[in-house]
Amino acid sequence: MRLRQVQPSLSCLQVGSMNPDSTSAPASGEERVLRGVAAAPGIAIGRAFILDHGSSVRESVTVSVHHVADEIARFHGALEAVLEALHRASDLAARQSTTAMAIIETYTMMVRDPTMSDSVLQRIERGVSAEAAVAQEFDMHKTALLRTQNELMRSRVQDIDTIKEQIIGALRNRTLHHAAGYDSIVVAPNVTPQDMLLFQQTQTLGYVTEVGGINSHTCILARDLNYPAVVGIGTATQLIPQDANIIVDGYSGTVVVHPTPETLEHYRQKQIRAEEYREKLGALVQKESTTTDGVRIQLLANVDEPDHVDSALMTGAEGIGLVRSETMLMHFGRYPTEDEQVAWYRDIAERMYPHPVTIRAFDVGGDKFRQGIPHHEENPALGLRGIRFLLHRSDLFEQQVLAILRASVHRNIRLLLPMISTLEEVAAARSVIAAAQQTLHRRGLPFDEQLAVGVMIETPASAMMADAFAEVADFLSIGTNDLAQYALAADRTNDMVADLYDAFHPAVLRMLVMVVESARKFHRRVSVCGELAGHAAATELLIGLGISELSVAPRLLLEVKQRVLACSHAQCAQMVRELGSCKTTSEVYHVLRTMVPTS
Amino acid sequence: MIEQTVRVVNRAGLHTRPAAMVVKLASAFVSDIYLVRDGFQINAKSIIGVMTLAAEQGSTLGLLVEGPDEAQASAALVELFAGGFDES
Repeated sequence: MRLRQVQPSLSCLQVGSMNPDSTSAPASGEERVLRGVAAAPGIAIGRAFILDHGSSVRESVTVSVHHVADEIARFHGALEAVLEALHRASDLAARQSTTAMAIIETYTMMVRDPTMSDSVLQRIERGVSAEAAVAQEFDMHKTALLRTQNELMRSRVQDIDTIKEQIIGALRNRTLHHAAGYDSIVVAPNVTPQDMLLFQQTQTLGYVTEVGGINSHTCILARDLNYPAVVGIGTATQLIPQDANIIVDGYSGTVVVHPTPETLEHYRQKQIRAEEYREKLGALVQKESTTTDGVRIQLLANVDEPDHVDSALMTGAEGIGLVRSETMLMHFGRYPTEDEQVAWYRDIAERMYPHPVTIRAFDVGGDKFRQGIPHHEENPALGLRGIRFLLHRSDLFEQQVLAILRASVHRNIRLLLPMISTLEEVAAARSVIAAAQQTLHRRGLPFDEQLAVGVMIETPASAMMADAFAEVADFLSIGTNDLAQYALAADRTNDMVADLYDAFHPAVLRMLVMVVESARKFHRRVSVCGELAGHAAATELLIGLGISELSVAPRLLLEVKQRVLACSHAQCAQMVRELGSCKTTSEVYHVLRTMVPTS
Repeated sequence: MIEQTVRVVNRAGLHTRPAAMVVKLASAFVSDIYLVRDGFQINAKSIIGVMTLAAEQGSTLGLLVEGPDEAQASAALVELFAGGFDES
């Protein structure tokens, strides 16, 4: 059981003015339809809550005497919120692990610690903000603990940090919480993945942003967390008044401001239909995913953290095809220690056991979480990312490999290397892995000696040389997002060129064919774990190509399964042969439309 | 007020679980209960305080108990320390 931590640094949100005088448009008025890009499906109906990214909330350390009572109330509220979260966690832990129960019990005692709360209250009464008071109090204890020589005692610092971060997280959360309420839709210039996690805890219904491409990691996360979202409405924060009733239609990419009763009714019906559809899919969970002509297609889920494994299991996933390990950086706000990583990976592997779990080594750089990585590049997508960064910081890489190996004791973990473009990188990674294995032998720790090491095919170079990579790798995994982005030289997060980015481009399809053929030649498994795997029209295409392992967001898994059950492998293969002569993306779409029965 | 000395006999010292046991037991009494180490006094009902003591195996702590149930409280805590927190 992992307790969700909200890092203090995550919430650099400034709560938009709640003063009606300062908003540029009235809170009621004519119905108005705004068009943007559909980023994550679903319908959200609620109150608009305008957020501006400005200076962070309550960064000031001191508060005036007039606010002391507020700060005290906020502190008590935060303690309650953390206790409530711990209580919920203990309900879950009660079914899963006595160790987790013991930890949660200790954490609960820490939050209830009378000496701690008295001391924090005294600090607040002296005019220190609640956040700063909590930080000072816990840091004082931390300093005391760090003075001891005993390693076991020193490691208790982690518990102190965890609780400190949870209370501070709850304090910041509540700032947003109070203002946003339970039925609001966040309207912001931009939403970072970090914000998304914060929103997840504040009962936000959906979001609308001014920037952001459909394939940005923010949108991928929104889809994962089930938030209806529309992005790319240029001046959304000015067009939508604070507190206005709005509808976010994440299917069509429209936002309705001040809907009439008729419009509202129309969308409520749409919401109900979507819910019914989801229930219908539930019956599919138990069914084996096989095409009508008996070809078995393995369906796996992309899951990034232990707490989300449940959703993969609920949808009947046959494994985790992709764990984006960099998610941990966001949770910890730093590089986690070897032990923290072991706990994280083991938790996922154990919950998924006996199904396989593929952990991708930290893929930092590009548009992904740069937090904690102090380097700046003109062109990060072509810069020090993926394996390049890992080999550059081989200390971090080796630490991660050690942790993955240590977590592999149940033999259901595989390691995936991101952003490979040369064979030398694979060789260098292999020697880091070999060194880590030696280290563990010396330490006398058990691990899976046969841990499979796969190569991520996401650069045109690795796709063109797929046969060479298939020879040295234990398996291949195609990352369609990046492969399409690099093949088409179009940044999927850049609105100006996002329309050029299309994974159905014939150039991308030809690369997929090459990769599959190379993998077959060397009897290697090849899976697709990019967004394409979950795309409505792509299931038949990927099956026709001969890919037998698809990994998608848990939310999409049953829809993909439904399509697998309805299609014939032979027909899909025929379709792919026809696609071979396509010269444009629209020709590809045309073939897909004629071949694929629309469901 | 009862003033006594207790010794940490278990191997791992006063780490999380034993600390939690001390706090739980101490909290069951109305008396004020303090642990003292190297002149540093902490409330035995404060888990963060007990953890911060970082008392290793072999360390000696002062135990101060004052209140209506001080005799029972002090006896119970002495027994808990002597028993090594049921550590196997």
